[in-house]
Amino acid sequence: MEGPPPNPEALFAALNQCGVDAVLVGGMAVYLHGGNNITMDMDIAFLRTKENYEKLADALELLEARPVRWRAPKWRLDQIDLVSGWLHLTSTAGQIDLLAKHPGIEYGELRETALDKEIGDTHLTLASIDALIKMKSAAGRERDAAHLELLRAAKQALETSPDDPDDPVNGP
Amino acid sequence: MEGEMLYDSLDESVLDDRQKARLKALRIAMDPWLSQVERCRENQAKPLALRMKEHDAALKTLEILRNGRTAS
Repeated sequence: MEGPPPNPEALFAALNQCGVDAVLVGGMAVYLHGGNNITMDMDIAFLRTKENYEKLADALELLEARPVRWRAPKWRLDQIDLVSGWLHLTSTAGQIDLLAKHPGIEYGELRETALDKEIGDTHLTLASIDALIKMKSAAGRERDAAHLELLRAAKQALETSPDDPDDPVNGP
Repeated sequence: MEGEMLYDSLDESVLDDRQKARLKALRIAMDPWLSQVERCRENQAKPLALRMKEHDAALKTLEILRNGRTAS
């Protein structure tokens, strides 16, 4: 494992401190929705405006983030770094993937449907299960199939109340 | 063989509530998809900070299994 384990609490503490408009997506979001998948990094989707890029750059500096094989002593995010739509970084909060493109859903809908969660003392913005299903379905990668299965199970778990009298496992 | 025939011909309408509940629980226990739902439900009930501790522990275990050493 390269660098510290993923720490969404530390990541969002920095994002919040700098006022970044961003949403946690990907495998870590699947995990936090109830999945048992293990992931090495945290995927972040964000509002792509000049102002938000600058705030994101500030937050990444707080986390000492940089591309894995970046040789210069300092690195600061530039919009050109995300021309491919994706950027992988190491940081004091663990590995971060910045996603400038996310097939299946626009950022507006992703942000609007996101959930507010607390992790420790930190406020975290977590993509909804439905949004993640849209993204994973559109990506169509082999590894997303397992995540889709977990997301559908997580959704079913939420829809089936533990107090359901017809549920012999969790019901009264 | 006889058991299979009994199961195939089982008319659930003749079962009482307890028997129906037991049968449903048995199906949940035997169905990997539904078991995953149960695991998700258990995980959803935990605070996220606890989930992250579990995730860290699982990562370390995975690292040991892969490399025979503790994750840094």
